[in-house]
Formats: sequence, structure tokens, C-alpha cells
Amino acid sequence: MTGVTSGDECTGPLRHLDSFLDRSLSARDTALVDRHLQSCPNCAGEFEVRELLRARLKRAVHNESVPPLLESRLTAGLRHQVEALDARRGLHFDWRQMAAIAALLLLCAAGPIVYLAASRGGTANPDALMQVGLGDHIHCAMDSARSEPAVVSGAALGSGYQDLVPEIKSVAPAGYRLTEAHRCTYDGREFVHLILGADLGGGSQVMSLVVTRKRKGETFAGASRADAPGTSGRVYLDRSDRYQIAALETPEHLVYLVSNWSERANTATMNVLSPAVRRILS
Amino acid sequence: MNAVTCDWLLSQGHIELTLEATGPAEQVTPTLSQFEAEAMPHMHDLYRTATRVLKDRARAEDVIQEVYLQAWNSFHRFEPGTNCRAWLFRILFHTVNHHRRKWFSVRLLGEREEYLEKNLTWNPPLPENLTDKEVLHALDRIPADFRTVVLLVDVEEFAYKEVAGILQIPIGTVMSRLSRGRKLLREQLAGFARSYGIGKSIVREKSV
Repeated sequence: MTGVTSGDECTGPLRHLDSFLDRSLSARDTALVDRHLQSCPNCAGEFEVRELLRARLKRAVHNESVPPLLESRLTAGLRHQVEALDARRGLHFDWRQMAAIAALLLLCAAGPIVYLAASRGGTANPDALMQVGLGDHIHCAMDSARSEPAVVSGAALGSGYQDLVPEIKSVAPAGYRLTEAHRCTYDGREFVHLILGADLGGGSQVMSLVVTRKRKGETFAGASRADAPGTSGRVYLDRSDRYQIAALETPEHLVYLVSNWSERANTATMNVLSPAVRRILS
Repeated sequence: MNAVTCDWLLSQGHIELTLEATGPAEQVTPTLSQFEAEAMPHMHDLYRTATRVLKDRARAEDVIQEVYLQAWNSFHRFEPGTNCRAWLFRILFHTVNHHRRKWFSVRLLGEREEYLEKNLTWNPPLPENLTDKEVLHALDRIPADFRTVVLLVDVEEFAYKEVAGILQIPIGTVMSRLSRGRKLLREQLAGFARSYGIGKSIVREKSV
């Protein structure tokens, strides 16, 4: 960089005026420009114009309003995305593995409750009964996590339950496919079990329909939480960790819909399924 | 002064950032609340700048959302007490550049070459009684590269060196874009004044 005062006495200071304005000149050059401005009205006037323009620009940009809810929107958006990322990228699991991990945690917690419920032979309290479907769901998700996805039909369910397959497929969101349709036994109780999964852009999704025969005296009536009674009967609600549970009972069966959706979505889906499920299981 | 490296993964690969920093790095996993306490106070500055650079409020909000997510993902590398604001601005312009081809028209890039050819000797007077609206309108009319540097220096008050770091361009480029950007802004404002008389309302200017 050439010295400020070289050549024509205004050329140097004018060339450095922006840097002078921004206090980015060396102490020596700052002093030289400063001295020149005190003796040259033209350059002093030019400096004032630039200083004024900068002040006006700053004021104009700062006076622009910021949307009142911007901060809360951004904070909520960030928290939502961080949660989604933690579920998807942070853990590096697909839905099967997620379910398996949850199982390891939950078998310890839910297992004893299920066991107690079963061992009391039908005198279980309704809230404990709500978790029966979940205990099984986790158990099978663990098994399925070990095997490769295969083409699944409802044949293994046996007559009387096969018809559940098209019904649950019809209420499953786009992108879901049936990954499990089987009978299984867990803690001495037999289950009919359907699992649908999807790997969507927003993370792994899973829904599961679990059906088991009632034991003597078992009922959800009296469970802590229930949806408003629908036309075809009441849906009872519970949750465990990230899973939502919506359950209904028929004279002979307990039926659970378990998913990692919102409670609202899970409950609404169970209400849609309810008439067909009651018809098939009657 | 020692350097701390803040990096994050973007879709096109691994990007490394180096910031001036003081003090030793702490290897403590930060919480989201800590991040918010550090980063959210700069939200208005980022939003204002993004709005003026992109000329679109909705897009600016989307970009800021993206910036905060990127920043959170690399926050474990961020050193408390260093210049968080410059760091966030750097992520902002990295994000903007990432979307640049989609957002800035070819016409704008062509205009830039044209502007570079213009002579630098004209120093028009500044109209009196400039309204905020007139100033913003003039700013919107200068090409994005120049507008960006003017915003960072004149409005956000970053030093040339910080702007060079934020935009990943040489400091000489910062200075020349700043000089030309200010001049272009002034020409725009002088143009308004010539067309309608100094101090007249900007409302009529829309008919141009």
C-alpha cells in the first residue's frame, strides 16, 4: 500500500477514505488522513457524506421490523429438528433397531408388570393390561431386528385373523409396508401380531397391531385414560417411552395399536380401524 | 491467540472453519440450552442480514433455521468466549452460497461484470431527507456480492478481516467490494433524487 500523501495531495486521502471511515488504517495513515481532512474542505465534505450514508443505511436496516414470533418459531423449529436428528442420525438405527433398543430398556420395566398381570390370572388392573400389547410389540421387534425383511402375507395368522391384514394396510400411511404378520407367545400369552414400518425422510416410523385373547375378568374398563367414546366403542390410551398405545376390547379379545406417531394420530387411526376390527373378531 | 477449528458436515462434504480464539478448548458436551443462550441473541442480526441479502423474508427465515441447525451440529467444537456472532455469520453465508445458484439469477451475475466496468470517479451528493424505505430500496438494487459486504461492514460493523473470514474471500476483495458497493448505493440514491427532486416521496418512484 502506498503512502497516503504521495502524489496529488487529495488522491491518497480520498483513496483511503473508506478505510479511514472504518478505522482500518494504520495509526500513521489515520493521522495523515485526519490532518488532510482538517485542511481540505472538499475531502472533509466527501468524508461527511460517506459517514452520513453509512449511518442512514444502518438506521434503515435496523428499523426494519422482525416478525414478533420469529424467535419462538426458530427455537421450536430447532428443538424439533434436533429431536428428529437424534432419533435418526445420532443413534444411527433404523426403526427395527430403535424398537430393539427400547425393548432392552422396557423389558426391565414393563416385563414384571406384564408378568404380574399374567400370573394373577385375569385380575390385572386395566392400566397394567394396557401395557401388555407393548411388551409383546417390543419382544417381536427384537426378533425381527435380527432378520432381513421378507415378503409378508397374513397366512401365518390363521383363519379368523387374516382379514386384519388388508384392514391395517388400508389405514397405514403412504410408504408403510407390512414387515411382520405372525403368531407369537410371550410370557405365556399368545398374540397375533402385525408390524408395518416405513423409512421416511423424517425418520423411521413403525406401527403395530397386537391382538390377544382375553383372560377371565380382563377388561380395559376403568383404565386411567380413554378417548371420547366413538360410534363403535371406546378406545383406551396409554404410552410408554416414545410409543403411543391405543387399545380396544371386544367380548373375546384385547386389541392394541402401537406406534411412534403422535397420540392424536395413533388414536385417530385406531378409531378408523375399530369397526373393521370388531367385525373381524366377533 | 490460538486457532479453534469449527467444522460441520454439509451435503457436499466436510467443511473446515478456522476462527480466532483465546484460551484452551474445553471438552465438555454442550447442551441445547447452552447453545441457545450463546447463539439466539444473534438471531435478529442474522435475520436482518439474510432478509436484505436474499430480499425475501420467508426464505430468510428458512435459511436462519438451517443456520441454527448447522451451528448446533458443530457447536461441540465451538469454544465459549470466542466470536460466536462471526461464526454464525460464516455459517449463514456458507448456507446462502450453498443455495446460491438456485436463488440468484444469471442476470444478477451478469450485472456484476457491468458494474465492475463503471468508472469510480463520480462522487454524487447524498439527497437530503432520505427515508428508510428509499435507502433499503437502493440497497436492494445493488448486486448481492456488493450488498453483502456493505451490510456486513456498515450495518453489522464487522472488521474487514472478519468479513474476509465470514465470506471466505481475500481482504482486498472485501475492500474493493465495499468501496464499489457504497458507491453504487450512493449512485442509486442520487438517481432517485435526480428523477424526482431531492427529498420527494419514494412512493412515486415505484412507477419507474
